[in-house]
Amino acid sequence: MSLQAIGLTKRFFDSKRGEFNAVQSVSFECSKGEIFGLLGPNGAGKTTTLRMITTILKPTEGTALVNGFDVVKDPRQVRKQLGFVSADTGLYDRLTPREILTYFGKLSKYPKEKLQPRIVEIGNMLQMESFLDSRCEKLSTGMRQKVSIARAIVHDPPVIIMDEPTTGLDVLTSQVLHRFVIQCKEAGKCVVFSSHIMSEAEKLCDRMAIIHNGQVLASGTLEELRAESGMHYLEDIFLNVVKETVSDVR
Amino acid sequence: MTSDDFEEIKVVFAKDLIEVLRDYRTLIVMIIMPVIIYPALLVLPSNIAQHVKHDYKNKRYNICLIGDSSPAIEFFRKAKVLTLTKVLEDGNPDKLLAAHVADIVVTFPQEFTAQLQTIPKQSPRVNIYYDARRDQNLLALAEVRLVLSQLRGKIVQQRLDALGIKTPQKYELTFSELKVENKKSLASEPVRNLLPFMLFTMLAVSIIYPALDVITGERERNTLPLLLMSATKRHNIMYGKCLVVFLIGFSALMIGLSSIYIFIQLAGQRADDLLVMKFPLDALLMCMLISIPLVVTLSSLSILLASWCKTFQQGQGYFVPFLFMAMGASSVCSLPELQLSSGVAFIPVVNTALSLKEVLAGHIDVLWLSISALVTMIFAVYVTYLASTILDSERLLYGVTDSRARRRLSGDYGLEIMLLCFTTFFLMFYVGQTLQGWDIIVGSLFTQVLVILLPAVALLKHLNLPLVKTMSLKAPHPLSFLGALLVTPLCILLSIGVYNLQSQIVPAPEAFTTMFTRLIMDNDKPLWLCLLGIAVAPGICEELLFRGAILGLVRPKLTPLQQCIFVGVLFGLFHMSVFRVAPTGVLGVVLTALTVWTGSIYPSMLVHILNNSAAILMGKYHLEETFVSYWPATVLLGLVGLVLLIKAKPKKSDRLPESLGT
Repeated sequence: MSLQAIGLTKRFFDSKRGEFNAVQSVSFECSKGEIFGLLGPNGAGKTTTLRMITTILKPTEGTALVNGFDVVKDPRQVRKQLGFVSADTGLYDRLTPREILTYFGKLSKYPKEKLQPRIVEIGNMLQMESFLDSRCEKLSTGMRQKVSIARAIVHDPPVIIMDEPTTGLDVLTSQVLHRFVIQCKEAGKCVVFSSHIMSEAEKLCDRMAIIHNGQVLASGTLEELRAESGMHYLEDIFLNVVKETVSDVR
Repeated sequence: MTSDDFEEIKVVFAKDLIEVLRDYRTLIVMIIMPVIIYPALLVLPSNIAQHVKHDYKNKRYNICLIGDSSPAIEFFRKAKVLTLTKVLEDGNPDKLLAAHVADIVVTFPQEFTAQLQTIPKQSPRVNIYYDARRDQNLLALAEVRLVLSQLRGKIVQQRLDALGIKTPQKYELTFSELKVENKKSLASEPVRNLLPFMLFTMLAVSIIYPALDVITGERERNTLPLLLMSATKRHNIMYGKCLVVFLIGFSALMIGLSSIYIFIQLAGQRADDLLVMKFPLDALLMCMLISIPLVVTLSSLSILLASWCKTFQQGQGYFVPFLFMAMGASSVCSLPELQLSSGVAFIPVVNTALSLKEVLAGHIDVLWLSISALVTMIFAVYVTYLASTILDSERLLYGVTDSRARRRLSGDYGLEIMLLCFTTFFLMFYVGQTLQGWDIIVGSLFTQVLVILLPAVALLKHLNLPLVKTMSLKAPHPLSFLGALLVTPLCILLSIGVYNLQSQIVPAPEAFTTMFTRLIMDNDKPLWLCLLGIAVAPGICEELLFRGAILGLVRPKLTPLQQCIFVGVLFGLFHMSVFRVAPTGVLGVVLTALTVWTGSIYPSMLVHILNNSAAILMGKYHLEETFVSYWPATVLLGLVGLVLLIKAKPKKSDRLPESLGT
């Protein structure tokens, strides 16, 4: 198993809300060559879960194994296995995409002699050739997101984590990104993909978990979720699961 | 450090350097300001002062005399800087001044000449009118006063002659000011006084922006999480970034110093002796060399500060005090008695300021300069490492914090300890000193109870912590008391030894060494009250604060060794004197170790009371030398005491608990 989340819990404190669990006992697995979707509305706990897996946040309880390395005990090894894409991460505006990719390639100890050919290869794959040497401050949102994706995979990591990567992108760029996710799967990567766009998840994910209020409410393949809920469309299944929780709480 | 580490540092350094240099703001602080503004700031005031002085020297002031001024006219005509423009019998001085007819007006009585011939009932009144808003008129005023004193001298002489009294022969004294410049001195006095301040300011200004850009900028632009997700070690990231800040700061400094050098060569040499700006090439090179440790330290400190900032705006707020502190640190250069060899070499930043001062004055002590540079470098490496631990703080990245209750449950009382220390130090400084100023003995008694004990107990009560358990208020093994009693002389000897050792590095002034003795001898209080106020009360209250409350609060998080060092150092700092910090610090470590070992605060209370009592008695009866001469007996007793303490070691169940509970 490439990625295993085992009872991940993250407790936050807010002076107004007091203590609360942003993520509570979240467990799931994702294998090589699989796309796992983490679906939920805004504030469900998707990003916090992914931040714990990427070692940026320390879990309050539980852990995650990335290619066998524990995020709590061996975070540095975990980081070597990971590529992370998010809509809200920034870029170095005063550098060009080529410089950024070179920087992260070197930081990830990607072999020096292979780095420039790898950048050219990614540039072709994501259609970035025209702006590879322009400063990032001059790039559009779509171009910037392509740079973000390229940065995440420049060191060819076995596990790729994507946190709502299509947010704010136009249809064409989203298509490029979807193609790229599928290419990753075909290349045997383990992809965890968080989204609140159900059609996107339906199209891409092999298995998925519906997360709400920090808890996994349902998980499985699309067929399994359909069978369990008796509904066809993922959006309906999602609303049904979330509604049940809301009515339970009431 | 491995080659991998160097590679990581190099990668971060190269990327950040490119990024920083592509920002025009960096170029402004790195090139424009050092080339134009700093040299101008150094040279222009001096040149302006020269011009003003030149103006003052050559200016003549118009003077107008009103009334019967005939006895004085001759003197005013001879005055060097005065031009007599009008002599009036009657007139309004204010109007003359307002019409700029005169800079200064002197009025004499109408029958001044006649009054001088007799001895009038009232002294004749001469008034001087001038516009006080113009500083230059003060020079004219001084000249008028001089003229009038000459007139007075003449009148006195005439009267003495009339009475037939011969005055003694006058001796004319000629004064000439010969300024002896230190031949070894690398730079002239104005440069030596101004340059450290300029240098510190220049450096602080030039590193603030790059430090904020490479750390806070990453945080604000949200690129930091990606960097932290890479497999690069945190401290290597920080060292790489620190190197960039260092390089920018050092470049700015080099450019600034070179510009100052060129400016002084072009514009600074025309002045007279007093304001001459001498800054030769060897002074420039020495300044560049000496500044390296300073750049390293300030770069690392700025990196540390930038690590605490979430946004640029916050960073600007944090860096204002930093700028002032950096500028303030240069003020040590103006302290005439402070030398690099007096222990200051171990204080980062200040030691570089002093190094600079001494080198520019021509005193080059290679040993202390090297020690100073080494200490500074070690400090900088440590500070940068410390900054790397803040880099991935969840609080700073995403505002994630723990609730107060949970922090306390996990034994994290860091904030509370900081608050207690701050409150106690603050109260000690203001309330304690006031009380002791009123009455040293009774004031000390009140200080101990109100300033030291009360906040500690109040805090523990507020935290709902059990006083007995937290403060280790439990009876120890009886042998512990005996052991502590026998160990006390050794503790006193240790304190004296450490004090003498510290005096080799930081010699205390005589006023300090005799202060305690005078304190005991000069007051009229009975001995028992002195012992109560200076020995018993501190022995109880300070122990309850340090070995009680503070030790109790740090126990859940620190190992016994860390507890001893932390509480001991705090105890040393609490005595608020650079000359007492080492002996009291060492005593603090011993007392903490005693509490940790015996599981009870009472043995350390006993040692503390006896230690302070011994200090009073030795001061009063001058017994210190006698006591030290018995050192073999003291050591022997101490060893027996240690054996007893080892024997009295409490069982595991009786030791101090780590968790405090509520």
